[in-house]
Amino acid sequence: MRDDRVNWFSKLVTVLAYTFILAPMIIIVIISFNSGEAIEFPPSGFSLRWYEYIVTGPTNFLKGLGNSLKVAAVATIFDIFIGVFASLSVTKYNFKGRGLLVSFFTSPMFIPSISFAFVLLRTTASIKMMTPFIKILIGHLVIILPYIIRNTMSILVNYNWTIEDAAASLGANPAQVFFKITLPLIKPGIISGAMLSFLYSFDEAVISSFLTSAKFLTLPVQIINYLEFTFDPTVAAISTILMAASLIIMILINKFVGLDSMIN
Amino acid sequence: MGYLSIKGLTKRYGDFTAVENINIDLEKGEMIALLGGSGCGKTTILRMIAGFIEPNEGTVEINGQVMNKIPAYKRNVGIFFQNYALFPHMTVYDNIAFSLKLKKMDKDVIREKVESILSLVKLEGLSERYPRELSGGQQQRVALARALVMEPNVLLLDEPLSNLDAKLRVEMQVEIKRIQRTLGITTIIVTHDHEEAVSLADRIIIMNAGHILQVGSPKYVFNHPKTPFIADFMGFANLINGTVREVSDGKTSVRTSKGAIVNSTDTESDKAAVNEDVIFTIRPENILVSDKPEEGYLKGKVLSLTYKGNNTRIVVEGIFEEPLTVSSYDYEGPAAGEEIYVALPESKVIIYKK
Repeated sequence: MRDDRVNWFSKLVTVLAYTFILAPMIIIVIISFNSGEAIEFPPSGFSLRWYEYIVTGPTNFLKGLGNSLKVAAVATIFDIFIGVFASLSVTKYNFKGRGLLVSFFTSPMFIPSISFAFVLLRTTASIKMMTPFIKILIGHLVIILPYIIRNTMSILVNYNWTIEDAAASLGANPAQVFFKITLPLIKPGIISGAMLSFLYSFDEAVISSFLTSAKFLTLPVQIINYLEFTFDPTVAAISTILMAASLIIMILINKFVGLDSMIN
Repeated sequence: MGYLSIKGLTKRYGDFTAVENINIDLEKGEMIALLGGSGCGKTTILRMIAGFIEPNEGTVEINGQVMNKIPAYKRNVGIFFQNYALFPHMTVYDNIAFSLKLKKMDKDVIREKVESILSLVKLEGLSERYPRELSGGQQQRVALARALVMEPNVLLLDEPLSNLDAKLRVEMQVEIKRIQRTLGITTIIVTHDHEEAVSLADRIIIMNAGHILQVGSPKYVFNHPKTPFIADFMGFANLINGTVREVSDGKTSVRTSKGAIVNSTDTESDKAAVNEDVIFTIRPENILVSDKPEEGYLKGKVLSLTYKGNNTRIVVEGIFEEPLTVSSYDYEGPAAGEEIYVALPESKVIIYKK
């Protein structure tokens, strides 16, 4: 009897939680197809005009999208290299200060990004040759690194290092051991870490808005700026496109890596 | 000089000496067992031969060539790991073909070699499985096949049978011996199980705390352990204190603290003088039992009985200070708490000076 009641209650909580998460998204999607001028629900009619307006409107959202993708891609690729080798060295070798190093690598996760953004703004302001792109890139490199390191390490802590010895005894040189054994086995961790990092960087607004300039705006900053003066469904249309893109990426990753491996 | 020659091998970790001054010579095709408890340094020796760790002193030579500066991947030493260390992302076929692919062999040659080794270890038809889809015994045979297919100069087996159940263990002992004989590979097997060492190896090396204690043929070491420590390790189970009472042509008579007299005619035993304190030992299975008094039998009381298939382990008290462990085949004698009579055959009693 009691089990039934718990079951009934947990079902209700689940439904409520999902509704709470999904309802605003669905509403945004519906609003994006509004034919009226304002953000209103229920919409006054169906049209694709706000999707058109993303491209034809006064704000060049496509350029912002390009900038965001560029920052996210470059930061993620750089951090894959840094993160994978950092994870390998702190899990494979037992040395003094190892725990400290791991905490140091993952500390950006726990530092408020607004403080970090401010510090970065002060530090980079005095360096003339720093373009906004490089400034934002540096900021993102630091804040997304923990995601790659944590995901890669989560596989490496349970990694059976003997198989590298086995590969060596079978004639594989260190490079072959890395590319044929280590890399394929930690690949799920790298991919899930890279995806989280990419999305975080793409979405990041605090650091970007501190370090940005009129010449180099990322999409989130553009959206914030836009919302300050305009209240039409353009942003809903952009959000709908981004949600669709995320969904497609998720489906692709699930197909090739499996989302299970991201959760574990 | 042997095919695999280890000279003065020493490995230290800070103040801790893992192994010290180890000298081993193996003939080509010989199989030797390193026998010792955990932490005795046997795996350290294996890792130095394979090239995973560098010795502080001493050399490893294979076929006259000093290996110290040669990295593991150029040594052609096959190694079987205790945890198998199969590549989880590769099929059985790819695991076994790994070394051959690295040598850039022709595809057909690789297929032929893998198939022939698969039939040698009796794993035909499993080549497309992944390691996680195999049983422990099958995984183990894949690991063995993977080490054998590269035709190694030296094969190292690290506790190859420790993770298997009893039946599979006996089967695999026979298999390993057969394959090693067939291919004539110089082999070192590391184990803590004296029965495994005795049944597999041509020679046994007994180790403790980084040192070699005794080297000899399985039969000799099994019957003539050099020290009480080795005796204990080789399954003698009984180590009993006493004092020499009388020595007369090849026969030593020992009196224990409870007054029982035990004689030894073992010629390899330490030569102790009269009144000297000694330890003597005898295998549980060499002790004779009877349920009634007989000439030369000592009277005791059964403390406990443990049935192990056809063998029964009987612990007898009241004869010596120490309880006496007896192993008897098809035992139908006295039950626990009852009187029992035991005899220690003179030729089977080994005496050590203290």
